[in-house]
Amino acid sequence: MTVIGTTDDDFYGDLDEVRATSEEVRYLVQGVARIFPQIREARAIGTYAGVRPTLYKYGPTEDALSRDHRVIDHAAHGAPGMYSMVGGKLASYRLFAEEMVDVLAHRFQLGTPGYSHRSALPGGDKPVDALQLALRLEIDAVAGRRLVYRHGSRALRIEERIGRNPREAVTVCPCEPVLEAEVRYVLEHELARTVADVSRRTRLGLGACGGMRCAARCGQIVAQELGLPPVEGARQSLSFLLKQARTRAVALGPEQARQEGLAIAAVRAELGVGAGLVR
Amino acid sequence: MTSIVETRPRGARSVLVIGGGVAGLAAAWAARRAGKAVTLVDRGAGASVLGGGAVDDEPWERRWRRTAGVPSGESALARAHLEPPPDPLPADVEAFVRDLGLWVMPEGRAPRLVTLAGRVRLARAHDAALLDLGAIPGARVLLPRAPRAAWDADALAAALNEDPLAQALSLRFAASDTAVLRHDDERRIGDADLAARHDDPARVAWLAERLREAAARAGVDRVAVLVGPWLGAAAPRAAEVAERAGLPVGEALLGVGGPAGLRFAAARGHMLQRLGVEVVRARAAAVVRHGERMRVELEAGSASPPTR
Repeated sequence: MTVIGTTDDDFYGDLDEVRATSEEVRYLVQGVARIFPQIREARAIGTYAGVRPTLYKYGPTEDALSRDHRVIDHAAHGAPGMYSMVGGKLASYRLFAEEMVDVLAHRFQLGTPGYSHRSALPGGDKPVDALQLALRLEIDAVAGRRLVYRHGSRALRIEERIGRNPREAVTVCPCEPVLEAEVRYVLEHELARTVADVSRRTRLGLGACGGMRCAARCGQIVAQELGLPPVEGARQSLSFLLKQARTRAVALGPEQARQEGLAIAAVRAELGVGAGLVR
Repeated sequence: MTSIVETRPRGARSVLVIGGGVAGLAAAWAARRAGKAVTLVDRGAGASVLGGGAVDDEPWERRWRRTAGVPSGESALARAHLEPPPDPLPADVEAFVRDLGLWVMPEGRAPRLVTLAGRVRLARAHDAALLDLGAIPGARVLLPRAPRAAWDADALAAALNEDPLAQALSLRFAASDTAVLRHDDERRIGDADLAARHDDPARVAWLAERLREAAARAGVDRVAVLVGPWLGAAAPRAAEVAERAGLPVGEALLGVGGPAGLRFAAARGHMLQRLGVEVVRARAAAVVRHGERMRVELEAGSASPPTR
């Protein structure tokens, strides 16, 4: 799987409706095709988009704006105790958060400078041999490597789950692949509350089939783990699938259209569209 | 490109059919009944071979909205009876379905099928291996637990117990500790592979015995068993299992790419053979008129020798 991007544009719309546009997809494909003409035959399986706040400046194009970040103290605007964190990017989120914490520590005279840059990220405390893990769990080597890549040493907690309930070693999402134990783990420990949350944490449903083979099963697990009515799980699955279909629509070529037809047929056959799940 | 298939258009004695899905098969069947010689050009997988076993004459959701979706003060049971009987089908369609010998079409009502996603859906007809809940009102339905990825008997039973279309039939669903997998690899193999193992009569007998024991343990009168899409790849085996076990047994429906599609492909093969249709295994690239004759050009490299 290959990710191509990015584009950079002003956005003034509804923040819940941020999507890649077909113009952006065309621009990227044209650009990449100059070096890799095969891109035109590749099957697009999804797009994603987000909005980042930048430090405002009049004049320069979006691209030229600084990716720097700043903590703004609103005491000068008559709102003491209120701060804004503006700008930045994912690569610097930890540094930014530490700066904010330092500002607060100073304000409350705690006197302890930030130290989180010296502590390991969750799961980053020790290396885990992915191949050995895969052998122990009797899972695919790719599935093992994925678990370690995403969870680091916490992959061992998922292994513990499977030790308690061997059934959970089954693969829910075959494209990525994602194990049942991992889905249940992120629901229990990573605050996932919906199928879409599980997808964001595990990449479930983001592979070649677009969730056609795993979303419904994931909805069942979400309902079980959170004690929701089963129909709520089915409803979440359908709304996840519909949303993903919308993000794919801008990248559909004739080849993808056939896969899309298959995905729609699968969803309609098993869940139904407009039969009590989505109002 | 090579062109190997030709026919005359009007007043012809021979008919050429492109595509071997349900529509192409029905066309070949009708042409043979009209006494024509038929050649069918088909290249494997299409929508019909990927189907899940539900046969619809309208989107099932529309049928659903007329029954469970009725926003009335009626009880679930009353709502279930609000469902108008399906329109009768033209006689030739019914004859085609009978002749194919794969689908069950209950008289005067729509079948109620269970999907692996945990819903009860309506249809017009269904692959004979699928369990029709409408045929077993009031039953206790057992779902054998099996460590397979897409099969969670407990989750499925919980969902079905809350489904209005199942409640209207006074059905109760319960997961059951019954061994249905015989070999260790059956935790991982695909549904179609597991289904193919039930083409073996010895395996059917073994499964029927397990289900009979499970029903006896349940200790209630009317028991049925719902399993995953595992009951046969060459033909639906549910009836054989049910007869040996002495209770209704059937599959839940997998939306796309399950064994029901394989069973359609097998039934299609038998039907084409019975009808004496010449089958060309190739992908049609273009239809070109040559004076009186129509010529189908086949995609280069896609043809294999004709079979009869």
